[in-house]
Amino acid sequence: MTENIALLGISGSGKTNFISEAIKDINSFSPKITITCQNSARAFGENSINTYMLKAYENIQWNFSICDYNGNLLKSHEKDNFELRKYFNSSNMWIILIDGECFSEENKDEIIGKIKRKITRIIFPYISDYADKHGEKAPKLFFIVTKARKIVNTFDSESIKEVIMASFEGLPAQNLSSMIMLSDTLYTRSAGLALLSLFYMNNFKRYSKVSSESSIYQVTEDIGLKYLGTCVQCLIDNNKKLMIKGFDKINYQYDKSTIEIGGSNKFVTLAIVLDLFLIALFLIYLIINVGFADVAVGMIALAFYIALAIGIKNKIARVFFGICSLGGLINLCALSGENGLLISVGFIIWLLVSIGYGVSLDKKTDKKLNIKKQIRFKDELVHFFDTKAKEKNNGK
Amino acid sequence: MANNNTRFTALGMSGSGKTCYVLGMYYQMITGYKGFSLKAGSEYVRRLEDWMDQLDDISGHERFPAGTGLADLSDYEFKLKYALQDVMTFNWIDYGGAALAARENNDAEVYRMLLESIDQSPVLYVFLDGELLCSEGNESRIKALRKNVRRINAFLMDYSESHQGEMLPIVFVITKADMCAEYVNNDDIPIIMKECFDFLMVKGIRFYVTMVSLGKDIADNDYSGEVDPMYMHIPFFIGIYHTFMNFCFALKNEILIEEQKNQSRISQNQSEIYNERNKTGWGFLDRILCDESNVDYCKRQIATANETIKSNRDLLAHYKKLMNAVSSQLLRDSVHFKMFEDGIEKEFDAAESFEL
Repeated sequence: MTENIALLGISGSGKTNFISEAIKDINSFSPKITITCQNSARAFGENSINTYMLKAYENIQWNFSICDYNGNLLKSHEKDNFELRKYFNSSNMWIILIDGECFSEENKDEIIGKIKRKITRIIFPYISDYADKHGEKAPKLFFIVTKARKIVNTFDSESIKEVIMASFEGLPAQNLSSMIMLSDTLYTRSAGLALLSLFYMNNFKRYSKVSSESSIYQVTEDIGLKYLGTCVQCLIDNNKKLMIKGFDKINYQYDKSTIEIGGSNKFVTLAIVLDLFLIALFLIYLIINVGFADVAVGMIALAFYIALAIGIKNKIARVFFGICSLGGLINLCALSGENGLLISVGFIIWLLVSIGYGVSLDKKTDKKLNIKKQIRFKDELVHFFDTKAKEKNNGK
Repeated sequence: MANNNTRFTALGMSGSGKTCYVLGMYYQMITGYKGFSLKAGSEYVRRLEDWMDQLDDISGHERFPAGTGLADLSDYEFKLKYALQDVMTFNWIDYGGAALAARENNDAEVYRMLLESIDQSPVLYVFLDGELLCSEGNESRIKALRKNVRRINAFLMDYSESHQGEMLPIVFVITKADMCAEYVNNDDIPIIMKECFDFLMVKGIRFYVTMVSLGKDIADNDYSGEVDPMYMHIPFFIGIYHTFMNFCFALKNEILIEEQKNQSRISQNQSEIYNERNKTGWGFLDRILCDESNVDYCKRQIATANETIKSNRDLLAHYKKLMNAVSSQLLRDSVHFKMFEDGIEKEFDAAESFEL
């Protein structure tokens, strides 16, 4: 299903730039996440609605559409405006772009006045219209203050929040749950972050709580979803200055989920190590009682098979050499007679049970997501953001 | 939603700023104010939006809308919302200056419409041109204003006479406050009002006086200053304060009557249940003879009556909440307007709204 995202911004607020930067950001930072334009349809006269597909680990995670249009269309009374309004009303996720230039006024009241005059006056009637058609409820609102490079260091979060909320005084008090972030596509990858945050909020139900009391979310069944959750959370954690309001709702605990996966792997590893230790003890017993010369060939063969079973990449060959290893083990055990055979059967049963139990703890064990890789991934993200800032600074 | 027949009637001489006020009020309220917002009806939305753009983009006198034709009327329909929820729809009727003289000109139809409109209004708005007060000394201001409001006064006296001395609350809106603020101070207002509207300084009549402007610098550099509506919401809030109060009082009385009816329905059904269960006074016989379907029917009637009582109380509570929001805001803004009642200036304390 394709979900419509309404992007509202007056002429010059940076809609086109925001869309292209968001797509570029997401596509450029990890080959595991891709976003592709599926369809571009002409709408509202000379404007267009683009449909995108977000993929993570080759799994389709989200189909969404965004319309790009000339901001003056918001003030028009022609048929195209009617169509645009219809598109907005079909979407329950609205991104409202606030031009950061409005914050250049002298004091807070003047900033509010300017936003009201230039932006709210145009946009609020659309929200009101949406409420009329949707049981007097506002859509989910995501305010993005664009061109925010000056604001980041001169305004604190509380002041920015106050300004935005005061500029949209007609909204219900509970709509204070709306989200606000700063964006500056020149210095940060914030456009991509905004889109990924929107993805997270829209797919919130797919992420489940760690426990009923907890406010922390994680996911175990879908590696792509997990990757995106980790990605969003890492981005938020590393860009606190840009997150003004509402981002406390995104609380995905990536490290904890990895540790839990690691826990089940560790259990299997421990069982195998214990098994190998017992086999080694048994082999020492054989050398002492049967003699090294008689055991040597069987031991070399066993070691060879095990090495191949572990080292070889082909899955079928791995199973084959695994069976050979078991055969070698049985052969060695047979040297000590009937007791040895029984012991070897015991080893095999122990091995299978422990592996089976370990795997059942986490059926879809994801070996790719271990702690080290997570840390590396987080570093990559931090680096990714740093790089863009540096690139831009250098290029200046 | 409160009744849909609410009308606010605006009177004033030509050029007094009635049309600019509608525009300024809409300009301020469209973005929301303290949770309240306005949405214009489809018929006038385009006109108002074009005017707003004109106000923002053009300089000079051309940025202001042309006034309503002398004998014309504009009937703007608005929807008032609180936190995006519909509260009421109302019409703002803007009469051209000549409507006041309709009776003298034997234009009975316009006059009848005007009276009808006022009858449906919870308050009457009278617009006074602030430019008339831009002179030194109260005497000259009073002289200029008296001359200008002669026709309005004649109309108000006529209206009062034809309504057995009754007069609905009046909101005097002094426009172009950015121009006259430097000439008129707070203490001058009672003097000017007494001199120009003495006949309203009597028992039983309440009126408010407030000054509004489209922006304190709007007239700068040949009217190219920034639009920043000043106190435009106050006259409108006074209007909805009275609307809510009238509505809540009417609703309360209505609910009281209905509640009494429902209470008697409940008692009646309770006694019917008792009678059904105690036909003979012999426990086992009563149980056999009791028709449970009758009991269930009565129980359903009681439940319905209780529900009606609850929903009525909820409705009243909802409007009380809205009225509290308006009255609290007016209390906060009370330094920016004056209230006269029974001939004396009083502090606005919204006491009557707390009696509900």
